Order: sequence, then C-alpha cells, then structure tokens
Amino acid sequence: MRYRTGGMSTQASVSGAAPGDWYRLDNAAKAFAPALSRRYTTLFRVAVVLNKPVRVHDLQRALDRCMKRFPYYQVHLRPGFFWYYFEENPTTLRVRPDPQNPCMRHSLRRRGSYLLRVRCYHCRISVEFSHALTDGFGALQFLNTLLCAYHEEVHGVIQDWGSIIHPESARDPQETEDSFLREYVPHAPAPVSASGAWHLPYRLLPAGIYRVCSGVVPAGPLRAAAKERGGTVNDFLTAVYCMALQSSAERLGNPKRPVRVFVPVNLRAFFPSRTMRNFFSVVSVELDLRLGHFEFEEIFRLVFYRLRLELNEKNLRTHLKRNVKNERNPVLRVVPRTIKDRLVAFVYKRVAEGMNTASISNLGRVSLPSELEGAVDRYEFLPPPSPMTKINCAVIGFGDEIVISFGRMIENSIVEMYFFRTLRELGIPARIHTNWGGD
Amino acid sequence: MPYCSHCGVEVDPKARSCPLCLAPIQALPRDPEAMPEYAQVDYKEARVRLPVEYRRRFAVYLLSLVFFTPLLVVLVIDFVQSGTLDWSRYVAAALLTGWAYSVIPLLVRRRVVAIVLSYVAVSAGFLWVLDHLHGPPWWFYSVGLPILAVLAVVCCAVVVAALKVKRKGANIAAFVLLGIAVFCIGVDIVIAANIRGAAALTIGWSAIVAVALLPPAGFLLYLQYGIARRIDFRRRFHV
Repeated sequence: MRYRTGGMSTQASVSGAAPGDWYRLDNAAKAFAPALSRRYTTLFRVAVVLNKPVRVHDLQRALDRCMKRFPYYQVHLRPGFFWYYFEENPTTLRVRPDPQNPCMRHSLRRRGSYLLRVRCYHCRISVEFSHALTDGFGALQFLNTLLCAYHEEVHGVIQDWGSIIHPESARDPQETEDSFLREYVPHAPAPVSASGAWHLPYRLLPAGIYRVCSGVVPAGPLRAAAKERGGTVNDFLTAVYCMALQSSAERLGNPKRPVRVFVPVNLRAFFPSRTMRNFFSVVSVELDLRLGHFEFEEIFRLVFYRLRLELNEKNLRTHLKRNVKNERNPVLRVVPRTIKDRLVAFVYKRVAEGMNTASISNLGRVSLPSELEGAVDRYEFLPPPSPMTKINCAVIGFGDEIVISFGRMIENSIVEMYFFRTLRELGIPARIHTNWGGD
Repeated sequence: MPYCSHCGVEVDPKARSCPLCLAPIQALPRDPEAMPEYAQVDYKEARVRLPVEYRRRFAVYLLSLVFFTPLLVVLVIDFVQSGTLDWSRYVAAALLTGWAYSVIPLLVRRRVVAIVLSYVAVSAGFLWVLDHLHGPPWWFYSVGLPILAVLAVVCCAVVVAALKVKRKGANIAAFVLLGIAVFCIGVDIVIAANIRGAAALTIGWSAIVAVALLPPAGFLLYLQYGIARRIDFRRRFHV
C-alpha cells in the first residue's frame, strides 16, 4: 500500500525512495534552508574513529544498504514557489575523502546535491549532515547504522543490533513526521525574547576554513567532578564553557552585553516522537558580567538550576510556540519564497544567532553492540559553523572517553585555551588534536 | 604524547607548538606510522552528474516553458486586441510544431524510425493546419503532402547511406548534395503537375539545380574514394 502525506511516501523502492517522492521541510529546516551560504553551511559532523583504517569499498557497500533504509535522507533541496521542499535525489551518494576543513565547501542548493556527506580518512568515518535535513539525534542514528553495516561488510553478521536501526528493517511512517507541528499548541504563550548577546570580536577567517579543536577527556574524572557538585556531565561542561567565555570576555574588555550560552535540547526526551528529522529546541544560560566576576561554583549552580527550570514539558511548549507560530502565519505563508528567503535568513542570522554568544551541544554517550565495542576508538561530534557566534562546542561520549570539540571561524583559540585550562585546574586532563596541526 | 606545560593538555605527536597558547613544545621522537588527525589538503566538491533520464525530463520541462510562455502571450494579446483569435493561430501552430520538433528526440530516444515517423507526422499536421486555417483547404493533399513525402524519403535515404558507409568523410557531403538534387526534382514534378497543370514527370528548373550539384558531388566522392584511399588525412591533419 502506498499513501502520501504532504508528498511523503512510505513505499520502498530500489533506491529507497519512490520516484517523484517529495517531503515538506520541517519547522527548523525552514529557517536553515534560506540561511545556507558559503559560511553558513549548516553542516555538522558526527564521526567514529575505528581502530583500523577504513576500507572504502566496504564502506560504500554499507552506505548503499543504509540509503535504502533512510529514503528521507536521499533527497536534494528544491525551491518551491512558497517554500523549499525535498525531492528524491536521482544520484547515488558516494563516499568522499575527508579534507582538512570539515563542514565546509558544499553547494547544498545545487540540483542533485545531497544534504549529507559521508567521508573517510585513515581510521575515521564521518557523516556531515545539513541541519535542514536532521538534527544530531538523526545523524547519530544514521552513523550507527552505517557503522554496523560496515562492520558486517568487513567482519560478518552482527547478531544483536540493539537499539540501532537495521538497514533491512521496516520503516516507520512516523520517522518522517514534523513533530514540531504535532506538539504545537496554538494557544500556548511564546517565551520572552532575549536581548542581543556578547560576541567574540575577532575577524572571520576566509570562507572554507573551519578550525576544529577536539579534546579527549577521561569520562571517569569528569563524571566524578560533576557528581561531587550534584549535577550531570552536561551541567559541568556547560559551566566550564561559560567560565571560559567569561575569561575570554574579561580579557577582551568589559562586555556591555551578557554572555549567553545556548544549549540545544533533544525534544524526543520530552515528547513522544520517532521522527528522524529535526526535533530540538534550545535553552539558554546567561552571565551578565556587569554584575561582576562569577566564580566556577557560582556558574555551576546557575547552570544547574537554570537547566532544570527550563527543561520541562510546559516550558518547552512555549519554545515550540515561538518556532511554529511564524511558519503558521498566514501572511508569511503566502509570501513568495524569494522574498521569504531574505527575510528568514536575516532573522535567523542576525536576530536568532545574535541572541547567543556560543552554543554547546551534547549528544550523550553512545552505546554499540558488543561486537563493535573493541573495533571503535572514539566518537567525535563537530558543531556547525556560525559566522555570528564564531565558535561553538559539541560533546559526545563513547566508552570511558568524552570528546569535546570546538569549531570556530576565527584564528584565535582563546576560548578553547581557557576551557581546557579550566578543566585542567579542576583536575581533568585532556588530550587535544586539531585540524591545523598547531605548527 | 607531547604535553603543553601552560595549558596542561596533551597534543598531537607532530605538533611543534601548542595549538591553544602557541607555546613551543619539546620535540619527541616521532612514530613513523602516526598519521595526522586530519588530512592536510582540501578537496574540491565533487561534480554532481545527474542521471540522463532526469536531465532529459528537465529539458522537456524547460522547452515546454520556452515554447508555451510566448504561445500564451500571443493568444492573450490577439484576443484582447481583436476579441477573437486571428493571426495568433498561425503563431500558435508554429510554436506547437517547434515544441514538438524539440521534444521528440528527448521523448522517443534512440528509436530512429519512430523519430522519423514522428517528425513526418508533426510536419504533416502543421501543413494541414496551415491549409485549413486560411480558408477552404486546397494545397495540402495535392502539394504539401507529396512534397513532404519526397522530403522524408530523401532524408531517410541520405541518413541510411551515411550510416551504412564504412569510411565517413567527403562522401557524406556528396550524399547531401545528391539528396538536395533529388528533392528539387521531386518538388519540381509535384508543382508542375498540380499548379502549372503540366503533364506528369515534367522537369524544369530542377534540372539546372541537379546539373549544378552533380559535379561537386562527384568531386567529393572522388575525393573520398579516389584520393583519400591513398592519403591518410587523419594522420596528416590530426588535432
């Protein structure tokens, strides 16, 4: 049986998607698609580093298997009259070499261009997704499926895939739903808009350059330090990040605007959803440095209580209201896309991005089938580049290590320096690597 | 693993300075097997090659837009000006024929016979419409259709001959010239028989055309089969 919901088909075909299939963009994607540019690539990366070099041909075969299971990722972005839409991409997604600068150089609006890339270098398999297609959860699910499929190509069948999606499993129609619209309550109030935040004052690097600095830290001491203060690893790292931004801001002069850190939240934890598209919101933690210097323990308490105050179903509904109300606005809906593009891009880049100093996104701890535990060294998660905030942070854990990655579009590494120094002062060692060598 | 004493972090074995504070790091003996964490080059984005079927479909959409937009415009202008469709019918017929000519090879691909028959049918249809638009039909069956038949036969013969010959070169041009000569003779006979009322198989002006075209065609055939056999042009003039 085949049915369509806004063009979405659930029937499988050879390529995974039926010819002529199309998908509406989800609520978050409608902001990301117009914002696409050489610097605002909206690409973020999840990667896995194996213990052995990657065999490209096996990876390509695994990728071909996976794309049939995820037809909603086998699409290209096409302009409609009122909105962009996703259409089945007739080309085959190929594994590409991994360059020095990740998440860059991609013409996402070009016909036939995928909104995800699979790249490999030495022992690392990387998947770069445009935020227009999905969020970190969807990307990680895809990477895990790809990794297991690759492992099967190389080492034979995995007996128990656990919670990882099997490439030959039946597709759930709910995977393509726009959960923002399902959970949206029209009469809910929208949250109060925040003012502009302080930003790093440095000049941007040329387009195409993205500085990545990843720190590998042992999970044990990190968890112990968080537990000692009664919080989670996420609270602890957010507090360290705020501390690093405060140190940077104090060194660069007295900021007149608050330092505000955005923490993306996976809404699937609060609302029942099986969507593989975007379903996240952001909560913020704010330090107003005009009130004076904040000690680390003060910042930790502030982060702890702030996150718990924000992260509940009722409050998150107000965030949903803010996101969806513009999409449902009848005037905005009938404005042609070419005009809407400029309007949405301006609001997203200047207003929404202007409200945060930086963001820290945590994908949590990854668990894999037992067959793969010994084959994987670590996971990595890189945030999307942002010319407005200039630096963002992303965290992911695997085994007994947590990888904290910074992606920045400026030359100066002041934030990472203060971040890892603060960690060190708190008794947590870090082993860092970068994509520019540090020579 | 080398270590930065300022930041307290371990750094890549190949790093000569701390990537955070730029402080120099004491060199350690390097592991020759060690690879840098990232590639040291940036790759250009791979060119997207869309499948032929997709590009063909897109070309049909584009050509339809190119032909149907002016079609709509002339129909509207004519209707607004005169309250009826007058001259715009001719333009519409020409545009529709042009559209059909352009999309036939895209829709009926690689089937030469089907393409030729489609072209003949479209051309016949266009002539029939022109004859009927002007008033009582009078020239389509007596002149238009026979000339079209001659044209189709001559074109097919030239194409088949060009495809059949093993060595292609000046002989193709000769076949084209001979085809023009035969077509002119055919047109002359049809016109003489139907318009001037002459007896069947009367040849007039077309004889002069044929006489003019035969010497260059013969020369080209001689060039191909007489001289070219002895001189390897491909070797001497290869680019």
